[in-house]
Amino acid sequence: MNLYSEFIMCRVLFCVAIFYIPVVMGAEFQELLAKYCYECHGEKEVEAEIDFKTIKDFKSYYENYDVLKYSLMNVEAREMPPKKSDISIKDRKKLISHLKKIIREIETFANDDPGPSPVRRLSSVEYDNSIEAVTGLRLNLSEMFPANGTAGEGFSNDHSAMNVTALQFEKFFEAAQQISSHSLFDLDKGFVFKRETVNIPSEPDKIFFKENNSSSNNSDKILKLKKHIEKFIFKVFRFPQEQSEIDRMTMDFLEDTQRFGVQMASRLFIIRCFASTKFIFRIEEKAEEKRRVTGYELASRLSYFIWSSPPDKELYALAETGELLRKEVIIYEVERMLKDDRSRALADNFAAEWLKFGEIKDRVTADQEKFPFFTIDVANDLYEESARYFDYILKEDMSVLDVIDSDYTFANNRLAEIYKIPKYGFGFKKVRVTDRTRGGMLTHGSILTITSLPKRTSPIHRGNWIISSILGTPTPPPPPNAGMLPEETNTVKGDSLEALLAEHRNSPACKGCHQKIDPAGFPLENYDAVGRWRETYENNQPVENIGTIADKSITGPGELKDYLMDKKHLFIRNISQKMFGYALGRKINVGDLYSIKQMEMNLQRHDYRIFALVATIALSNQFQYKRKSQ
Amino acid sequence: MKTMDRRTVLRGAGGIALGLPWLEAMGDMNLLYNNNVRLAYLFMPNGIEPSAWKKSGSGTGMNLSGSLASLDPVKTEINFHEGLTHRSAGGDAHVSKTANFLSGIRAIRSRSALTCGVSCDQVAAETIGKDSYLPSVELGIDRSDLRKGSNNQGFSLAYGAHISWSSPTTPLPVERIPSEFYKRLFKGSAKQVSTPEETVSVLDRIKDDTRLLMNKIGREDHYRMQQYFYSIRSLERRLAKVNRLSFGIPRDTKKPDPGIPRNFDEHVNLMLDLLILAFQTNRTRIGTFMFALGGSRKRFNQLGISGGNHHDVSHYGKDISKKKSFEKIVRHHVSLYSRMLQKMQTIKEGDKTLLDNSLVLFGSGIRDGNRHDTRNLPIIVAGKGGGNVRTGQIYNHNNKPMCNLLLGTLKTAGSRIDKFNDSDGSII
Repeated sequence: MNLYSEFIMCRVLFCVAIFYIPVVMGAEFQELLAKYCYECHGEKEVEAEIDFKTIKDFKSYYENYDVLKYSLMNVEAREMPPKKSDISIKDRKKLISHLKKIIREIETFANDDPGPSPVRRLSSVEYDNSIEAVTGLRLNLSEMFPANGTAGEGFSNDHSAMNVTALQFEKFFEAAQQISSHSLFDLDKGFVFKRETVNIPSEPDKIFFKENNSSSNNSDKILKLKKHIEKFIFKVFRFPQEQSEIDRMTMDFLEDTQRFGVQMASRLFIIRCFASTKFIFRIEEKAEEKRRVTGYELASRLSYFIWSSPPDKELYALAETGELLRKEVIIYEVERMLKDDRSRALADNFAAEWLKFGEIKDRVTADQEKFPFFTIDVANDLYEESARYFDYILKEDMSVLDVIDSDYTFANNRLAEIYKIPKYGFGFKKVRVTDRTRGGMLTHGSILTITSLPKRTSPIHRGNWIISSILGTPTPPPPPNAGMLPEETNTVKGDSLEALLAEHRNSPACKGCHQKIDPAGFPLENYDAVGRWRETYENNQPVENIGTIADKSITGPGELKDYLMDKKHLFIRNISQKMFGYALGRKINVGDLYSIKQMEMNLQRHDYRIFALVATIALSNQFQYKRKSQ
Repeated sequence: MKTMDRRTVLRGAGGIALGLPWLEAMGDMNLLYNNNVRLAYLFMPNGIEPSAWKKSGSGTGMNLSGSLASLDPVKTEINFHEGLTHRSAGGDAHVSKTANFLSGIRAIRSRSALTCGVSCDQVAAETIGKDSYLPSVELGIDRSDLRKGSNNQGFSLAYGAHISWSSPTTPLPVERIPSEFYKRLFKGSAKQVSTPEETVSVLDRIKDDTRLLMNKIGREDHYRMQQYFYSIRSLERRLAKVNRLSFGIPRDTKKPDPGIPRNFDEHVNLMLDLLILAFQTNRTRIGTFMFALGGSRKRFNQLGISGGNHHDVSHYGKDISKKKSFEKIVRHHVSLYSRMLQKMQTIKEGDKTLLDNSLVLFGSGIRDGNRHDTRNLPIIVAGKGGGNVRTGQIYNHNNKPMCNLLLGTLKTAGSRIDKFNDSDGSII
């Protein structure tokens, strides 16, 4: 347990509203901005949508942290201010030191703010899991919901992707009706759900006497009903409801019983619950001041993060006693939850969107004429390989670096044949791979396929995937009309792809970025557009599998993996930021950087085991506290 | 036979089970069809091949060839609007120019939170659509989340999946499953389990619950709850209108099979047929349709194009064969549009046709597929807008805002607004 003793869980609670701290930022900095930057970013134009004229006080510094960081990078790289501004070396140094100072100021200051925790709608997966947790039925009703996009750090569980349009509500309402049609009310058993839909019995119900509500017999029954309602809405809404709320719903139930009969009243009650904002959204009560989350809030935060599901009995029990708020208990629970089957949700929802291998299920990109064997089954197998691989890292508490390199993968017979590795019998098995052609997710067919064009590989897409998804250092977008390469084959007009790319790497407009992107993709040329190993192209020329990054030449996937292992500090930061964004369901902001540093440190201290990452997120300020509500 | 006044007709047309033939036998239906202009906006991704966008003359003397040849049978019913521009479009190559197709508002460069502008179909839904069973419908072919994440120009790909926006931050996802849309049009989802009375009572309760909850959560979250609240209200309004203002389902209507047609043409035609049906039965007056997502990489092997996908061939450069392939794809989209118009022409509404009573805009957010240019958008508007529009014309507006035309469609349909985003006049 003392593994995590370095945590300072109970930081001093000072809730000074952040914007009131008087920070007198140098007038000199403003002068420099006016002199060198306003012309393009404020006065006549607002190039790149940056307006320095609006960045004047600490509040605006804070809000424009990203802009300032980006500016620092450009000023240091001498990209900005542009040459025509004739900035002196001295002024440049001053500008740099001011920017650095402000950025440091913001980071130190922001570290105490847990950041926003906006109310989140259940995602499609979370919706189905939540229904199952209450009713025991796997109805997959979310299939009829309109799909929502991704947002924030690139995940579909992000709060800002979760609009409720009229269409969406109709579908929620329809789904609630369908659920209710599986139910019957029984005075002793409560709300019972059946696999098949149930017709309401035609004979009049005799549960409640319609007249004479005050008879002792009836009031016993009403007491029973109340208990059932209390239990049911706790399960649906995921935290205990106030007595007044239970009374209100019981009254409504009885009123409906008078009007429509008890079974219909029960159905309307169930519809009401499942179409309620308290079910559809993960509600947290407002914070009058910055406060610790409650046990129930933490239970939901944990379970939807790790399982994409509501809390189980054990979490609820710990929430009720408040035990769950103790650090050791949190650590123990995280460990238990990761070992549980349900943590596969992190592979299916987090990893599949982060590393993009989920896309292989949505669209089979491979050209059907060129790769006739590449069926939907193969695509699903490739998905399964990647999902199982990540799931294994979670369940066995392996190093997160296994994403880059390892000596194992998962395959069934069909994949073994494609990968040319020995078959181990039916179903997916863990397979040892020692020759470095497989092992590590960048050698997975799923990823190699989604980063290819239908008919040929794309070192640019693959390189971009490496520097964005793995290293978290994406390049800025290309200029408009940057041009496109042909989609067909590996050679065009006798020029090899490498030669074509080399030409465009040397053109001044492109080279800044493509010197970074392309070399990371070429070592993967040993895999074709659907991830099969190859030594030569179709024209029998040897594959061009060499990329040169910073004067170091990298040949083939083995050396690429070595290179990425050297850069593991970037990878560690990236996975921390991504998983944190997924856990919080929002975009990472400056206030979160301190916690992300903690994650990096804890990963390093604990052999990069994934548990260290997940537990650090669970214990972070952001996860444990709720910011003062507006 | 004595002509009935509008109110009597409406009362008579109450039950949705009544077929149109019965209605037509009632005499002069023109009163009913007055002030009942339907608006449809169809979006085609990736622009056109300008040299094949060939048209000249007017009326019956109009000459159409190249990509437009298939419009010949309806040439007297359409107008070409050349020289319209989304001036403040900008942004990336495709997705931002999809999001603002119907608003002209610049999409904010963002990999995550989406911000664009309210689209004209939603302005219509608010103003003239609010009395319909469905204020508006948003249809399409592709999943809104087909492509995830953001593009290399810093724009979320979700921008490319939405042309309808009910608020600057609320893009409306498309319905793409024919049977689901049919169900939504004609069943009133509430039917299966509870009666209207029961449904109204449960919706009331959900509203009460939401209202009570508002006091307990932070103000920053009220926006979401309000969104929910409005959605409940919109279902309520719908249920209240289920039997008013709707015409019967024509007898020969076939309920679509569940699932999605495999073939692109079948899928498009089925969705457009359902849109026509929704107009014909007056279930809605406003609809949008997306042939595909902005920057679509759909393949058109069925047209004999194996050289590359839609987006790929749209960047034909100097490659003649790509240019030809691209033109074929554009021509194909236009022919699907033409088929829709011809079908609308066959549907009689009194002494007019459904097409006469509609405005069906077809276009793309960029002109030349090769260049991502938002100037001089390729735009066709079909239909006489209830008799207010002179058709069979080719207009050149010489770099006027596209929003002028969007405003024109709204005004023709009876919306009392004078300005729409950057409009500086009204065109129709």
